Amino acid sequence: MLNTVLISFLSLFISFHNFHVTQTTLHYNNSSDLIEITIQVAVQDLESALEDQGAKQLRIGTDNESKSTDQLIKDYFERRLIILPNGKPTHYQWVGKEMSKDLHDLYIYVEITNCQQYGKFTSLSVENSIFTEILSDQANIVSIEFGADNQKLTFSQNNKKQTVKLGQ
Amino acid sequence: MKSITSPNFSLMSTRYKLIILFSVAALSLVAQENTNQSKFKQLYEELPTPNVYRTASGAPGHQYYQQKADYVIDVELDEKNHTIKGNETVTYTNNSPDALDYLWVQLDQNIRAKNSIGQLTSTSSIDSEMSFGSIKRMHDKMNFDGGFKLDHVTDASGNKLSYTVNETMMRIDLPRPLRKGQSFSFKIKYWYNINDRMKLGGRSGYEYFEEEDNSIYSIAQFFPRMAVYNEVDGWQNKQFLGNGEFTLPFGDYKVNITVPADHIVAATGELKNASSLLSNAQRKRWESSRTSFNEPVIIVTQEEAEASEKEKSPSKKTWTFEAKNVRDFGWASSRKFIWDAMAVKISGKTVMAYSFYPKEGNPLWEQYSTRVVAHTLKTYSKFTTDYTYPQATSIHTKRIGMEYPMICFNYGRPEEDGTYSKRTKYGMIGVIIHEVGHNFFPMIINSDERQWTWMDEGLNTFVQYLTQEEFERGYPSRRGPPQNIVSYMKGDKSGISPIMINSESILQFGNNAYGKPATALNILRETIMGRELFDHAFKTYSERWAFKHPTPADFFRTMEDASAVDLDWFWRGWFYTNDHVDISLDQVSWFKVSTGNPEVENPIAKANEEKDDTYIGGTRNKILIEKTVDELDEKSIDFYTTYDPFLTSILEKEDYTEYIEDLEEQELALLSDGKNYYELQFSNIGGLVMPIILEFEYTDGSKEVVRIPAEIWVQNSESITKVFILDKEVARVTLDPLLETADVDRNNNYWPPRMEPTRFELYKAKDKSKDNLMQKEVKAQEREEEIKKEAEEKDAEEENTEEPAEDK
Ligand SMILES: [Zn+2]
Repeated sequence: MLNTVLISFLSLFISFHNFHVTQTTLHYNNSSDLIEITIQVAVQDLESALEDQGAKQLRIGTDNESKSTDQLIKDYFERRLIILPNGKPTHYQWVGKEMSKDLHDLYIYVEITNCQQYGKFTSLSVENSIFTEILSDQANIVSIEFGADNQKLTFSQNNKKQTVKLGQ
Repeated sequence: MKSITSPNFSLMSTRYKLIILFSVAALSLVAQENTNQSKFKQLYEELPTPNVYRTASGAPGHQYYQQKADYVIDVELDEKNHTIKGNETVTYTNNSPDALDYLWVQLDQNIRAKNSIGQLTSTSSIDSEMSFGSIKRMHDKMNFDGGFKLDHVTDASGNKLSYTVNETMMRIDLPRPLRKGQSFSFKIKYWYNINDRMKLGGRSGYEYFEEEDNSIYSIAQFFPRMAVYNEVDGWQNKQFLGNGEFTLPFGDYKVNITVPADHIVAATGELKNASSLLSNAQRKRWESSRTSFNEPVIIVTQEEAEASEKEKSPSKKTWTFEAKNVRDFGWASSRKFIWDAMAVKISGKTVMAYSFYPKEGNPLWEQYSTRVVAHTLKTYSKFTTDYTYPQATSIHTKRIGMEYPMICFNYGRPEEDGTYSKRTKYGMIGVIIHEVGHNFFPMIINSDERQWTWMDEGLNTFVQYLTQEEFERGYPSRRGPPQNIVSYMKGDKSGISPIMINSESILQFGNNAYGKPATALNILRETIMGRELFDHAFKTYSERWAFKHPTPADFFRTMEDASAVDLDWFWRGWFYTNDHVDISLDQVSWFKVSTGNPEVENPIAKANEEKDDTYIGGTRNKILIEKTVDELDEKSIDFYTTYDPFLTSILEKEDYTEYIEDLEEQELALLSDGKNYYELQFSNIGGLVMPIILEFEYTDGSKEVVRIPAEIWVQNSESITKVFILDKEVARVTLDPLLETADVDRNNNYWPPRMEPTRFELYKAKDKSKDNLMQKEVKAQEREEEIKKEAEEKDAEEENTEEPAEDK
């Protein structure tokens, strides 16, 4: 049986760093029929994750940022943050990204367009495994803002998929 | 949010108006549950009972004591095998009233032993997408043969002592009980494998530079250390699991560090044998740095370090350091080290600021490290207690930030070409301020880190914020400003723990133990206590507990005792609960006092009734019904058809005259002053009680900020109303206009109501091509060159096309 294996590498013994939390907001914009997604991550963790998969020196948010960065980021989050309205698969439209004022975090903006195709929202499944492949103490927080439905979820290495009911 | 405006809802008498004003208190009386659930309830049940060791005022009591542990340590670094060999003599002095049968010693390195408690209890899982790198790290970590290997444990004369190792703790059984005032010396001989920090992580270890076969050693927890014994926990022998750092007694150290002869060593304390280690030139430079208060002096130059890097000395040298009244000892060693130094004046005494870094740290480190150390010592000394140690050192260590007395390890490495991003620069300055700041919390103000992470990290992060603000205007500070904690505090409560929780149980470590307490203190300083009262109380705490062991209660009590501000509600809300701040401005009602004069009031009332009668059918009928029956047929008219209730009759006039005659002078003044009465209704959605800060914007465009203390919630912490008497008419009201309370939902902070745009909307709305100035400059240059090139190509093309033409 393969279980209880350690995979933390940046996590222990460091007294001053970001402590591995991401914040994601899923906001349904009724008037434009979009799910607006804002993902807040530590730049350092994002670089570690992308470099762990073979990317070379991205220098995210600097003047020398690698050209392929946006595409790599979009691909990464399409695999690690999966949004399933009524259980149906979705694709992201890239909107953009920006550094936080304190230079620590990156805000990533993507959207899911034309949401009426999924029908009236009755459920939303979220699979969130952002950075859990490299950080054992990763916590990923998701806020769902679908009209009157305001829900908050926490994801971790041991809890990567959750489904909430909408429009009850 | 609802809002209702009642313009000119007239109050019929001054007496009636008074009733409205007092109804604020009446409304606040809401039934309590059967036990005291008040958010303002005293903290008596949460805080320990004051005693002779710790007083109710938060100061050390008249019988306060603390233990002492003195060390003489010989250590030797084996560079080839990456091992440390050690031999220590510990002299432990029992100042407690209790006789001790045994001593507890901490073996922190054992967290890296195979199958250690730390490894076994850390949860983990396999990810389907794990990279080769991740799997390799996992293997490296599990295969590393870490932990202290104990050769022997003896008394001072070499007789074996009975001892028991329990994971990261070791009990030494004493031959006879150690009574108050007595000392006991024992010796431990040991060795351990040093971890490769870059592969295995760690608060200490080495970084290996493969190309040149050199390492930077940053060494800590390298000797068995005494645990703390006191009246709070008895022996603090909670196992070291990884998050809860260290709890250590003060003592004096003499440490002899043997390393390759070409290494430069930095350590806690003062170097005692420089003459046999440094060249004459280096010692002269060091001497001159002692009077250089404005600029660092380079003691070991980059050329000297680069020369050392190229060869390896086969011989060894021993560096001797001594430190008085410290709780721990750390050191760093490498032949790669450049060393610079600068003097700092703290209350008339000179303290040295040092930095040690390899060429890889430049140009950043030469320019900033020592300057930042100096600035940190000055700022912290101002806000807490004077820095009385002889020096403070910053060591360049890629990727980590970690603190020890007088020495800390800090990240911040430029690119190989010597350029660096803004993030690298401010990350480095921030971490140096933070880790040097740890000299104050917990090295001097020696709280129990194993129990309470926030007591050092939170307080330190708060002063770090103050220090960053004084370093540069607009410093990109992270933890401190209230709005930065909002996304954490409004998050899923199952992923949040209160600040008052043991270090190992903390969820979201950084936000919980660093960000939230730092923000809470900042709010106390700026909004609740004010800078004068806060700064005095905070300094009082720091000075009371310098070189002692404070607990949370000592902090809470001192902050109140030194300021006369009752903060039990604040500690209860911010430190003992997961509640957040969300105050809603639910309703604004506008009242004006009626003059009582029917000739004034009746036309106003009539105009209002007509204005309010806006039912669409009525409006249409006014136009579409040409004539009604009474308009067509005079016979259908009687008294009531034509009676105008707003016409002033003689009777009303007489009533008014009588009424005026009855009024006192003060009442008359009130009637004629034309003031506006606004009743504002608030509800507390988030749970945390906080001051109410309001900005009134008047119809003439002027603004005014009104501040109401949190005690407005004292009798009803869920909803309250408050009346404001204003000269001018209000156009807009904003709750928390200066972003000082960490209110998580600002959409209910406005009257008239207004939604704040989301971050997503703001981003989408703004100019997408918004590069930074440097990028713009680069793009402009590129574009210029492009144009030049295009022009050249065009010229060339023209020539080319001209040529065949000529051929023709
Ligand atoms: Zn720290």
